[in-house]
Amino acid sequence: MSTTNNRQNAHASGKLYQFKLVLLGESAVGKSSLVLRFVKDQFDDYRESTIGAAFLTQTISLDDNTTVKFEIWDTAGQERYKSLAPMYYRNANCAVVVYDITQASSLDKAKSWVKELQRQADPNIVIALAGNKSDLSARRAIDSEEAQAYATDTGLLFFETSAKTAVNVNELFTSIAKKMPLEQLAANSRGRGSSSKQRGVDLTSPTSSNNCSC
Amino acid sequence: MATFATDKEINASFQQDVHLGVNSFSAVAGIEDRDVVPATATTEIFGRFQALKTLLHPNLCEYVEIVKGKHDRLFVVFEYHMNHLGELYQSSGQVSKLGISMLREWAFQILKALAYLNQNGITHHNLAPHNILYDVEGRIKLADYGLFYMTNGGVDVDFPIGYPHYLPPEAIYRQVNKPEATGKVDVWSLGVILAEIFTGSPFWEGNDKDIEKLFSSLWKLQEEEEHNDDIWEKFFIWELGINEAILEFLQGTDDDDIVDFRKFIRACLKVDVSNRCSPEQLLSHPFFSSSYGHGLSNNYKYWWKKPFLQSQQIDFDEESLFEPVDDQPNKDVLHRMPLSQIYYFWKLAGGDVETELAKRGYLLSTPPIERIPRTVKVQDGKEEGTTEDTAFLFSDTIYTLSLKELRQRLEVATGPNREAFEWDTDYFLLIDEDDMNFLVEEMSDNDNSGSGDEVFGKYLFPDPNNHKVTSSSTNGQTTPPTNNVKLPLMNREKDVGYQFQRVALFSELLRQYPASRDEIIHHAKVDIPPFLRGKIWAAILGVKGDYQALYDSFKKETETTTDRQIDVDVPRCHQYNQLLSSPIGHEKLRRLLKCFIAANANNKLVYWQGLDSLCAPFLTLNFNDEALAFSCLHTFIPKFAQDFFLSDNSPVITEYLAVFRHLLSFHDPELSSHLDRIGYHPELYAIRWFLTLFTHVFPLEKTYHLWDKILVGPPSLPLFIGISILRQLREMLIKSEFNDCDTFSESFPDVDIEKCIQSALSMCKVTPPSVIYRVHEPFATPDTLHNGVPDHHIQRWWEQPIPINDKKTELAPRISLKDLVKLKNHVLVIDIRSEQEFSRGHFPLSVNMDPTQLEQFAHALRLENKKYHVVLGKRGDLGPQFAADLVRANFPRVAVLTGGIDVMRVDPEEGVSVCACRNFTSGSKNGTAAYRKCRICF
Repeated sequence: MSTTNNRQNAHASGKLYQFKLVLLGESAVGKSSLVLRFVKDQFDDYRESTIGAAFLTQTISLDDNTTVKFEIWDTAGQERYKSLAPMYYRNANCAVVVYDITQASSLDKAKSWVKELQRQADPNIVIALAGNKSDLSARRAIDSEEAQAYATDTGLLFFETSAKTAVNVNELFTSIAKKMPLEQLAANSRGRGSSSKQRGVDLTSPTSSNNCSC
Repeated sequence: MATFATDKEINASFQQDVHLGVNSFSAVAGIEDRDVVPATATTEIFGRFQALKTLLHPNLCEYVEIVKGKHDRLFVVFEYHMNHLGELYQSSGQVSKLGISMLREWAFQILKALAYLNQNGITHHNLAPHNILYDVEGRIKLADYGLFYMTNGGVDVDFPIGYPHYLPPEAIYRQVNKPEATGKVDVWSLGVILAEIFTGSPFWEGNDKDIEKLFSSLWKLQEEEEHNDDIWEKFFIWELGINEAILEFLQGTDDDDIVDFRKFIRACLKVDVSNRCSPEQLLSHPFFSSSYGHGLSNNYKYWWKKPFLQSQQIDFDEESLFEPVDDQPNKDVLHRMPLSQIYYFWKLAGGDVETELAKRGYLLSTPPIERIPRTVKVQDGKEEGTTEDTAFLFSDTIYTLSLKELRQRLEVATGPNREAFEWDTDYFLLIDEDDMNFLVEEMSDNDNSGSGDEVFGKYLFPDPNNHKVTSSSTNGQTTPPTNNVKLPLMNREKDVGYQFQRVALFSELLRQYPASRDEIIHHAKVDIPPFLRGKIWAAILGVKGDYQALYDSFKKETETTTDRQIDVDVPRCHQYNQLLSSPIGHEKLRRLLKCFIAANANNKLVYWQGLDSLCAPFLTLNFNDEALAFSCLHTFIPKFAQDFFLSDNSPVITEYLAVFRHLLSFHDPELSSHLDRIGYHPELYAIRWFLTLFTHVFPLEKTYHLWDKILVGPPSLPLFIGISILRQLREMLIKSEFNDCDTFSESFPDVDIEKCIQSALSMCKVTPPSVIYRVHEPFATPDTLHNGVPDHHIQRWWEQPIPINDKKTELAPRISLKDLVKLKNHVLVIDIRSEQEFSRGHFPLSVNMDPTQLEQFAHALRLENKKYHVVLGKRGDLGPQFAADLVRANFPRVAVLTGGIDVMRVDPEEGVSVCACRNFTSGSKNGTAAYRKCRICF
């Protein structure tokens, strides 16, 4: 279903919820590719690296009455850009932390992102762990079970995805949408349109601020 | 002299009989299992080919270009001569009459060429009489010597390389996956060819089709060799199908005058590789010693090795080299032109190798449906059905490209009735008499002081035509200034006559580099001919000295913690580009980045993602000269991306983006306040713009054009280009809410680079330097400070840099008093102090108003109809906030006077003094709110 249709549905009936989602993870694990697959259903073998961050949106329908719009912040993976990350995950309602199933070190990096989010981000943030590049299972370096066990322990959603073959990509984002405490957030979502301070990324305040100031 | 001249350019001596030859083949369709990003064989060949372009030897045909056509078919363009040794075979009666001295000369020249190839790590592996060409002077020119090399020893293609008839046993029975062919392979081939020419008889009996017999003979040769010392003496040799005449010659004992020749051929035909000499060794064979005592034949007399590369000393002896020796009135237009240049012009004149060959019916194109493999694998690995499309295999047919049309076009372009191109160099000088031009100011300032970098500050040249253009960048609407360079850039780049003249001009200037640097910059402001872009950029950047030695001096192999990051970024960097996507390209980019890090360890610069993109234009333009690419990058970064790559670059980037935001407010207040309102801040989209100077935003082709101007423009130009991009997308942006901006964060296919640059320049011209002042800019000196500040100078409050967090939150920029004074009658100074303070002293002609009453007085302010609006207050007041209000009310060119009234009192500028008149007029009718205007004139 296309984005436009979703938008119209949302206006015609039911509720539109809007969430800010941030993607984190080591360089070259496929963050941008996951977004590209989710938003445009495309895959690019030679996707350029992300510098700073990139911003995209996508809308999905959960059921006839519920539509969820994701504001997606795709971040640069290089360690050096880490200082920019709080700017993007501050006020985020959900996060996808990505690792590459063929790179053992990338899961460690993912774990450290999860820790940082749990410490610094909104306490209600919904976090999903995505083991990307599942199409390259021949070169797998991280067991599904191991990652699954970690995700369960830590309370994360978990998927093994492939941006290349589209396996589990929509499932990942749909599950996140379903896990969001929609009713609780409904009030916030309604308020967002009128308050410019709540839009996008908070650049002014250096400290973590409360999501709900409206 | 001639810093960037290559051997090829120095030796360019195009002769009438030289042709551009083309042959064509395809790489293996698909090689499986090449890691995540499959580098196709085609790309590998493309990358490997590049090094062949640098080879230069009097006995080798030059490789000019490789072109990728449809269906991954490759076309190789090279120097070609019509005569080849194969012709001797057709007139066999003549062959044996050739004197030994002729054969000796040929053998020597061929060996010289082979030895040169070996030195460069190349094995010919394809030597045959028909690819041993000779030019009109009888000089040997080997062709097709790069095929084996560029295909990675044949691994990348489905066809065998080399003619079995001329190959030694070890080339046929080599172990699989062990392509260790050496130059000795070619020595065997040479032996076979010379023996054939001498005897007039083919080496092997039977025709070419009888390949199995040939292979079994070669096999036997190899087998027997193990048991026999000199196989040619043995009887069994007569059973291998070698022609009698050949064997009789090889085993002969008489004829003293050919004894050396026979020994030489037998040395070539040693079956055991370890006993066979290399081409280099054979050059000292007794066969040659009598004739070439000094190891030099006559053919080397006029051959110059790059004698003074990178030397800045003028050597007058070499001067004659460049003087045209013969100035015949009717000389060929292509005379003395490097082949690569001829090919470039040939393309501009409409040439295209693929269509050319297709037109002549040489490309057998199979319809796509026919290309679907119809092979069925049956038992035992056997295949049934149509196996292959042979149309894509190699054919050694060489097609020559006709230069007739090019000659005609160039003769017209250089003839007496040639089109006169006006190379107006006033690109930066489009003076609007009714507006400011700070670039003119900057130039005259620098001329007075006589200091500063010679590039910066000279953005202008006298305007010969005194063009007047209308103002731009006032309140949202841009009228791109008319430029008197006749054709749009794209048309100029495709015009063969224009490019011919440009290339000639710049080639000459580059020969005189570095003395000619100013002139190069002068002409580069009009446009840069793409053919010479890499070198012109290097000249503009001021690369000089022994840059190769500099490049070599840095350790590029040391492992660092950044390696992993570089390794994952390099294969993602501009991979649509044939050069950068090739494995060779990956290696080169990796080395360049590592070298940059090694070279800047002391400057604390590190690898940030994006540096790869920034490096890409230099590498693609100087693919065969890594050292030059490196030196360009090395001089480029301090000029245009100073401190961007510090490990903690956030103060630098934050300030840069803050200035960017101010500039947007200054030139397009409506757009700026809109983006501010929806929360779409530069931090969200513009980091990659400036960190990579737009290389991460635009494809390389657009980046080249952008950088052509950035390199010769003022250092602030990138900021203005960023604003031009926003303004080209203005219509879309102004209607967007935050969420709609996602389409914006990708690439900008519709952004017109030429318009973008023009609009950037016109904005740059009217922007006072203090508005774009950055603490972190190269050679920063705030011009609120006077030059040569004495040590005991007490720093005034306004001389301290504005804290970055303030700068970031402010919407409008600051302006210095010095710049304010220059604005003269274009500016409206809005004084926001109290009436009492105003009456005690104020800026002449300023208005005084309560900053909280903007709504009420906006109309009155607009009626003043000024281009600039400067807010004047006192320390710590609401100046910046009021300036932001003005921006939101769409006042153009709003700035806050740095230091407010205090700076006027303490540091008065020439031409303005505090006015203490009480001659106000009130702009307010009802008298409740105050609006006063000073009526004293300057």
